[in-house]
Amino acid sequence: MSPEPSDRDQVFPPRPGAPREFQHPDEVRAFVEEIRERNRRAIDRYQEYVDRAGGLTGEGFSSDGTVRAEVDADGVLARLDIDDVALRRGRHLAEMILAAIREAQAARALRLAELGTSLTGGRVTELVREAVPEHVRDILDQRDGRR
Amino acid sequence: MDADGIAERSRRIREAVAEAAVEVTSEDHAVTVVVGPGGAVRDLQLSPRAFHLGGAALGELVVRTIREANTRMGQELAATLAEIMGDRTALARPFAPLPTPAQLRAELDGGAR
Repeated sequence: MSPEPSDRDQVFPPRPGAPREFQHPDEVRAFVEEIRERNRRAIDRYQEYVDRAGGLTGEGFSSDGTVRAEVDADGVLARLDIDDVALRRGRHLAEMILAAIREAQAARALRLAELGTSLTGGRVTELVREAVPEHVRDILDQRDGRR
Repeated sequence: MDADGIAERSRRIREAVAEAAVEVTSEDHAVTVVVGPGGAVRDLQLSPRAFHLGGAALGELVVRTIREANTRMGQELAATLAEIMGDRTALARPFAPLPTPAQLRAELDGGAR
């Protein structure tokens, strides 16, 4: 399923298959310049995405807050804080760590999607939200003040 | 390569990515992780030894073990994809970096000359 292309996404002329007739070489030049300008704007948006996505990390917690995970801009675990109290949770500790890591990754994925949507429109955020388990989504929404 | 060949190859790539998993156990056997592509952590197991470490030390060990597994994952996936593509050089890095905005601008402006 691909999102509906919006005008802002369009790098090439709309209706790529449509025949276009030119009466004068200047019209061709103007047409090409139009495409070039659209590409420049697309590159500017891409630049903004790269600048902002490069610093996007994610943070997640176990449900009791004793384990905190942080993933880097690649979505890989970069830091894990385990409160000594959590060590008493025995066999549950592994699940708590996994939950914190997954929440951190979901938080980063959502922020990336929101960034992509803010720059190009489309349904990216919606699709990513659908992929995140509901209980994690609720936690992140609450934390980030989405509702 | 014909259309069937391409479809078959993309099916194998999808399968390889979906099934890719690397398991790594820390040297002291306290932590075992199974990771998938893209930083996914599929499983994490702690041996009784893990609970003798303090929280801070265990946290660092888990990070180290997961990052090592992740590095290996990248290498193994690169090798698998290269094998499927039948070309060991072109796909040495499975996810070659995208062109930078500066490269794209240079290309666009170069075309203007």
